[in-house]
Amino acid sequence: MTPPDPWHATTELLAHYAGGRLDPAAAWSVEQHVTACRECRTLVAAPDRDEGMVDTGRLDAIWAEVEATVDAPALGPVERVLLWAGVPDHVARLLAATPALTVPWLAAVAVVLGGTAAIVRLDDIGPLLFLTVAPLVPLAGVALAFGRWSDPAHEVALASPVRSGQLLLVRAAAVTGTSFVLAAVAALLLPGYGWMAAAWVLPALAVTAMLLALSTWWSPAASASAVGSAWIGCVLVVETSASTSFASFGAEGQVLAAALGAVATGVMLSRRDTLDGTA
Amino acid sequence: MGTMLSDEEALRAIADGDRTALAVLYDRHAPWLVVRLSRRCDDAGLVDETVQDTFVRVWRKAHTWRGEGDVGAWLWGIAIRRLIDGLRRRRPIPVKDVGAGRRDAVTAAEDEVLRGIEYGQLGPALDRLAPELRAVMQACVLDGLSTREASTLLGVPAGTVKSRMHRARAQLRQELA
Repeated sequence: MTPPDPWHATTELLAHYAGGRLDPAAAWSVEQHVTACRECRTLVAAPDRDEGMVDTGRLDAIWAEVEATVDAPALGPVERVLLWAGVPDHVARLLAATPALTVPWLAAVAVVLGGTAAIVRLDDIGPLLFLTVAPLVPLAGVALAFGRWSDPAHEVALASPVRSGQLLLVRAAAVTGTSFVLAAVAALLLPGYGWMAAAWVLPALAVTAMLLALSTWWSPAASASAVGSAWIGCVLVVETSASTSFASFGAEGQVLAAALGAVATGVMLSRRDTLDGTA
Repeated sequence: MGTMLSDEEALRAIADGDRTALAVLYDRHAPWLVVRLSRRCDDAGLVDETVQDTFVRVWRKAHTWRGEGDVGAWLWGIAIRRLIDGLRRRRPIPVKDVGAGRRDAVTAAEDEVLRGIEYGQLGPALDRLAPELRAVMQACVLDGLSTREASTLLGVPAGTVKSRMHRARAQLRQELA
């Protein structure tokens, strides 16, 4: 039985439907019909939108949001991976804007560490060079991660409701993490040094902690220069004066690094409020 | 809205990155989507968010439309699933007691709807269903949702959706026999 002419909803019926005053069966019929019928959809929208069944202001507000989202720049690969891993979107955006996490930085680190690990095979002093350079990687990364001269989002970060000290810590954790992964991969290239290939881990943590502690007084860049120079100086002095080679990475050195790292972490945590000012 | 673009053409244009076409599609479809979603969710903010999500998704996924069936039905399929996603993120929320509307002054309107459609006894039989059974029928039959999706939308366990669906079917079968 086909209906004599195509059925269409009346304005009144649609108004009842929009107002939630229809019986379920009737409402369902209207819904099925409106989904497929252009004319009746137009009635709900109302051509000039002055007499539409949905408030024009509301529709315009939703549209504004749609436009804003559509216009937003596409997420970069770093941000997408972070979101996929369950990182909240505002943290993901801040991390993705961390200059040190960007591709050129990662590439530079890979080249430096890979090159150092390669030199190791040629030269007796190579392993020492690698162990000395590896802790400097997270150090430089953290300093770069929050500098007004290297961060395109610096002004935004200053104005954001996230405290800049907290931001520094979040970024520091991310940079340290990625640097450690890269350094660990490079360490695998060290031939036959056993646990010695991992001897840079505690010093790296220690210098990073000291950088953060010093940053409560100085700028991250100045702190990084100071800590980095001190580290290189220590290694040079110890290695030239000690009777055995790799003395700075032996048991005493590791204990000292752990102790310094712990003290520095304590200082940094007790003074973390001042990070907001220097960053 | 002087454009003569059909919905299908608009979708193809959107797939090619045409923002004007998205605006055309929005003007045509956003109003009824707002109304229909509002009948399933009392939270106006969430409805707005869902409509917004839907059109953002249309913008990004227009190329996945296979060109079969009605654009309106395709849009609704996206919208109801965005709503369910939104509900998942936002529990607990007020769930609409579907079909609990007033029954006066609609008899004429209902006759109008049923004219030419072979409903027979179905309309009155549906009206006699308990509201919670009707809600399940609406989600599973009309909106074409899975048991799990319906369970999120209505805020009841999946087992309850199944048993209510079973009861609704049994009651209808009895009444229509």
